[in-house]
Amino acid sequence: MQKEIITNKQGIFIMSMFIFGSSIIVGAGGQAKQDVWLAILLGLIMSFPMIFVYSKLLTLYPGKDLYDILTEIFGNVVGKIISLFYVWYSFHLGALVMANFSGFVNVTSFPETPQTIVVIFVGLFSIWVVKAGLEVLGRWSAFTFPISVTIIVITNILSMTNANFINLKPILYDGIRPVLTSSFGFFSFPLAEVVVFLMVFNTLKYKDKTFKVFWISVCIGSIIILAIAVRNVLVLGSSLSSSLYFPSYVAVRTINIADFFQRFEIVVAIIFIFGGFVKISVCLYAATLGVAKILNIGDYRYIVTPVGFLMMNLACTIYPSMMEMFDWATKIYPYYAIPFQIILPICILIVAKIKIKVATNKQKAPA
Amino acid sequence: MVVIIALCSIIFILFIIFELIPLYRKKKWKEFWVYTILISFSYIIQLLFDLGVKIPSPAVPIKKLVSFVFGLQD
Repeated sequence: MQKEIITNKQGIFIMSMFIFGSSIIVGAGGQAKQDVWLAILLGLIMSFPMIFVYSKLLTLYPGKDLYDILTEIFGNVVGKIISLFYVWYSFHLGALVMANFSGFVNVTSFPETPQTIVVIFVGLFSIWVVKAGLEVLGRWSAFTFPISVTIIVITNILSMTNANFINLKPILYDGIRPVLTSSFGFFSFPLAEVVVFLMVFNTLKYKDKTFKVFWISVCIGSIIILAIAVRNVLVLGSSLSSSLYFPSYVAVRTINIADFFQRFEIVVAIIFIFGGFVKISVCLYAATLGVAKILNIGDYRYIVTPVGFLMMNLACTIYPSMMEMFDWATKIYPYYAIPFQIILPICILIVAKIKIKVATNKQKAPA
Repeated sequence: MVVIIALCSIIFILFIIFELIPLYRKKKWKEFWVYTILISFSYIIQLLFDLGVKIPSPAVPIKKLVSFVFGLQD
């Protein structure tokens, strides 16, 4: 099996699409209403320490992904148990995005189609991409990222015809509390989900620039989400944009210029398809790699299909309805993700630093 | 319902033909058994789901655990 290498630029594209992939449609910072811009900026600032932790972990062990680092630090048994946690996390995340995706298609475009069909199509394509390898995903992201950004910029400019700038006021009407809750929600979904990239970015070409890749992607993703969230509030108003399931879809639907530029919402769906697909593929790659490392299988490509099918099963069965999915995602997910995104990486970094220090002291002692 | 079950079964059979048999021929036994176990589990769950059987979702226990640990109200 050849070692996979992706260039730093492709890494930035993959991670940016990962970040804005599902937030574009689902929306971010729902509770903050008209202060969503403040919540997003605060969430971005909150994420910097964690990004520093993630990239430090990768630069301490260059060329090794999280599963290798865990078995090296904690030994075989404990390392594999913690790897199992991260396999479950990326697996669950991929299934969540798939459920989001199929729910979106179900609600907006094909109400009569069973959810299973949409999940099958998305799942099969993700399995194909992961089997093809990470470089293919990098090239795909490099191709679709400029397209997505162009579409977002065009729809934003066109929506300004319906924008009402009074919707951004009054600033901090409900106090700082909803803003802080929303910024923590924005931090955990989607920003700190880049913990999944700890299993992916061991393949970067220039490993000492890992922090730059993380930092630039997070900023790009946050700016794009900020632009979209602010556009939603401007066009729809604060109460409507926070209560709708898919505010971007409805906001772009209002574009109607000279009766010629209308029905633009399909391009928003296309961006969601691109971004969601990248997100699902990365999660599937991380989960499959974890399963292969735990079971000591050499090449992960042989078991992509079963893991992918299991992810599709979970996506179909995890939520009986859209309402429960959104309820779970907004109320439970930020707290459920804390151990995976915050606690475990910090513990791993501390133990790694102690181990490295002990090792260098041992080396220096005899001399 | 019959259409979905037929479609899923066809997809599973195609994957078994194109991926499982080559694994058997290449004599990679570990990958073969992992693949077989996981894919039969997946097929059983898919079949049950398509037949309408309610499959317990992990979202509910996670919600109970997180609400208990962090003291959230519903």
